[in-house]
Amino acid sequence: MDRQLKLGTDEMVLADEIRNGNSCAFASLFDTYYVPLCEYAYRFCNGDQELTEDIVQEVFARIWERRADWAPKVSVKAYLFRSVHNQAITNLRKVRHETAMNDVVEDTTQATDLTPIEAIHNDELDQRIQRAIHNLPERRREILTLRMIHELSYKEIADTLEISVNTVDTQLRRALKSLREDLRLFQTNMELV
Amino acid sequence: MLHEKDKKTLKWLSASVLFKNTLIGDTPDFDAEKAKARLFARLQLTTHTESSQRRTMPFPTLGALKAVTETEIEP
Repeated sequence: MDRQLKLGTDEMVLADEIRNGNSCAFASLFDTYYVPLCEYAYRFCNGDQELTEDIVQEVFARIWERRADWAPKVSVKAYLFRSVHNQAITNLRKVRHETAMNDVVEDTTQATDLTPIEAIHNDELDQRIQRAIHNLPERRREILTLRMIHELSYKEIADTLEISVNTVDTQLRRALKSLREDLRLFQTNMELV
Repeated sequence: MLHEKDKKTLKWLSASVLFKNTLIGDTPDFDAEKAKARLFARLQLTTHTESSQRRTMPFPTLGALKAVTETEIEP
């Protein structure tokens, strides 16, 4: 709780500094969020790294160019993820790549830093996990990603996706239930951990 | 909010590198420094702070220090 409050306060200070034209504060924001935002946006860009980076750069450029009026109503983190999300979706519609989102997971498993136990079960587990994730509706997968990978709070996820906190909660619970069922054999044996 | 079994599942999945890698998908290495340089050039900004500028200033060589000292000693 204290940490969240501190982060919030720090963010407010950072936003103030950026509004005042402090380029170091802007650089700090960029350093903190550039890579996570690219990793988040990449799935919407059909494997196009250049496009991904352009989208994220554009979000940062717009913040700086309109810094005097920059007053995010949500947390800075949620603001950035939402901006990137919106920009990526707009682009996705523009280039008519809507179907790409469902295909991203199929060929994306490149496990690194596996524990020996994970390595032993890699093939079977790999397939099970891919199937389990692929079975999730896109929105649930996205909520799970924002929570597990980018560590956004419920409120931040809700602000990013412009949905209610209750919806986040419901969707996350359904995603976990689905995964629990699809991966129950491994979970029972606790061999994945 | 999440039930106990959901929390357990989340914790269990979070501990798996394989699961997280699959969830996020295979992403390339994004070079933040290069991207920052490009963005800051576009916005005509500098990332140098006073302290980083100080760090990049060459430290005077011993010879240079000696020359300065000798100059100051001379009447």
